[in-house]
Amino acid sequence: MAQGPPLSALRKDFPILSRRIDGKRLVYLDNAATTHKPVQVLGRIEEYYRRENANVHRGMHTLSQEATDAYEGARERIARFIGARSPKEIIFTKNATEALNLAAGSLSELAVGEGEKIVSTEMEHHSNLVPWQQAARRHGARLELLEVDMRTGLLDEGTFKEKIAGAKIVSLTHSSNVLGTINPVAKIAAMARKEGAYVVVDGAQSVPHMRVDVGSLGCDMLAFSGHKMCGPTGIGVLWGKEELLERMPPFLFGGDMISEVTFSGAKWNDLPWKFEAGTPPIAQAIGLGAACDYLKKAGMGRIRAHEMRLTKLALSLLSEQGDVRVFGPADAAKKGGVVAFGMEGAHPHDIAAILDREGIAVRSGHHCAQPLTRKLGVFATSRASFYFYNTGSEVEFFARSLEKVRKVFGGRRRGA
Amino acid sequence: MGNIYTEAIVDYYQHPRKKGTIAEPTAQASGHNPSCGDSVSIQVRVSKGRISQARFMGSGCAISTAASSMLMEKVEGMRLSEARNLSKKDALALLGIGISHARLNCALLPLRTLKEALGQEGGEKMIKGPGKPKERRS
Repeated sequence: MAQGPPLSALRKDFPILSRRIDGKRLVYLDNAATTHKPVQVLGRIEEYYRRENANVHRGMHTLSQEATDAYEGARERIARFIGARSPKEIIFTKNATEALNLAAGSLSELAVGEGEKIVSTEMEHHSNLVPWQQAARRHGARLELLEVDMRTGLLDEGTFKEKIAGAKIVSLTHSSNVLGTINPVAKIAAMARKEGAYVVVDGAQSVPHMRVDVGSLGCDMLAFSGHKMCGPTGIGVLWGKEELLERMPPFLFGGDMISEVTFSGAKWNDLPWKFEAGTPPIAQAIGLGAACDYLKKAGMGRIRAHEMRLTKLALSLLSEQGDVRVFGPADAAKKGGVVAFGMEGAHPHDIAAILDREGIAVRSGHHCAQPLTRKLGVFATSRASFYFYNTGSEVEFFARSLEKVRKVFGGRRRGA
Repeated sequence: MGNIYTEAIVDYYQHPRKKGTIAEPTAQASGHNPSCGDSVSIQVRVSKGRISQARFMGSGCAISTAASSMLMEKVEGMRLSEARNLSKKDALALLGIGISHARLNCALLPLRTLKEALGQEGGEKMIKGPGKPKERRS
C-alpha cells in the first residue's frame, strides 16, 4: 500500500473542487458518471498539444515519433495498471461502451452459434446488455440473465450453476452503477471457464476505485472508461488476452488497422492496432496514462478503503432517516461507493434539483439501467457516488441536506 | 435560477387536479421521457370542436406533474383549434417559473403528449374498445 499524505490532501490537485455553485461550495457526488481531473492529467494533455502534437505511427519526423512514443507509452502504463501481460492486450476505444460493443460484436462472431447461449446479469448498464441482446439476435442465440436477489442486492448465487451451464460467453459488471454491488467475478469466471465460456467484465465502476488485476479476476476481457478514473473523456479501454484477440475479427475497418490493402481485399495489422481504425484518441490516451500514474501514486488500496468508509457513513446516516429507502447491499464491504436512494413524497429529479441549490451534485434517473430500475419497483432513483477526494463532512452535509427536500414537500423525517 | 418549487407547483404536485381517466375518451396518447423514466398518458373527450374533458395519468417529478395538471385545466373547455395551437411558451407560462434547460423535457412532455392525442383523426372520433395509447418519445 502506497504511503503518503491523507487522500484529502489530494483535493488541491483538483481545481474544480474549489468551485462555488451559486455561492455554495461544490460537493461533487456524481463520480459514477464522471470524475474530475487533477492538474497532473490536465497538464500532461496540454503539454502534449503544446510540444508533441502530431499524428501517430508511420511518421518520420520528430513530432510524430514523440507523439507515437507518448501514445504507446500510455498503453504500457495502462497495461501495468491492470496487470496485463503485454501492452498488445490494451485496445483503445472511445469509451467503455465502445469497448463492450467491440467485445460483443467481435467475440460473439468467434464464439457464438445458432441456438447457443450468452449469459449476462440483471444489473448491467445498458452498454453491457444491449450489445449482447443484439449479438444474440444476430447469431440466433439466446441471452440469459443472472438474477438479482432483491433482498440483498447481490446476484442470486443459487442460480449460477444452472444459468452458466453450456454458456459460450458470460459478460457481467464487476460493480453495479446503481446498486454498487461488487460481484464475485473470480468465482463466476472459474465456473464459466469450466464450461468453456469466455468471460467479459465491465470494469467501468471498479477499475477507478479498487485494485483490479486481470490475472486474479480470471476473465478474458475487461472494459473500462478513462473519464471515470481522472482521465479525459473520449478514451476507453478494452483489455483482452492476446491469444484471444489474435483470433477475433476486427471491429472497425480503415486506416492504421491494416497491414496490406489491395483493390480486392486487406490483411489486418498486428495487435493491438488491428482493433484501432483511424486516427486514435492520442491526447486522451496520454491523459489516461497520466491518470493511471496519479491513481497508482495515491494507492488503489487506500482509495478503496477511503471510499468504503464514506459509503459506510452514508449508509448509516441515510438509514436513520425513515422516509429514505436505499437500494443495493447494506454492507459497505460488498459495494463500491455508490448509494442509490429514494425518498417518500419526492421524485428523484426534484431531490437532485433541490440538492443542487445546496451545491451538491447527485444524479437522478434510471442511470442507464432501465430494466433493473423497474425491477426495484421505481421509475428512477437518486444516486450519490463517491471518489477518493470526497470527505466525510461532505457526506454528512449531503445527508443533512435531505432536510431541504422535506422542507419543500412538507415531509417529516421519521426515525428508521 | 429562481425558486422553482413555488407554493403553486408543490400544491399541484401533491394535489393534482384533472388526474384520472375518462370513460369514453375520443383521443389519447402516452408520452415518455427516456432520460428520467417519467411517463404521462393523456385522454380527452372532444365534441363539437371543443375539448369537453381532459385528464392525465402518469408518474413524474413535481414539474412534470404540475405541468400536466395545469395543462389539463387550461384546455378543458377550449376549442380544438385553439388547443392545437398552444405553443411551448404557453405551456411554460402556465407554470409561472423559470425553467432551466435540464427541466424543459419535464415541463413540455404533457404538451407534446396532448398534441399527439389531438393530432389523431381530428381527436373527435370515439376510440373503440380499450384504445391502446400511442407511444411518443420525447
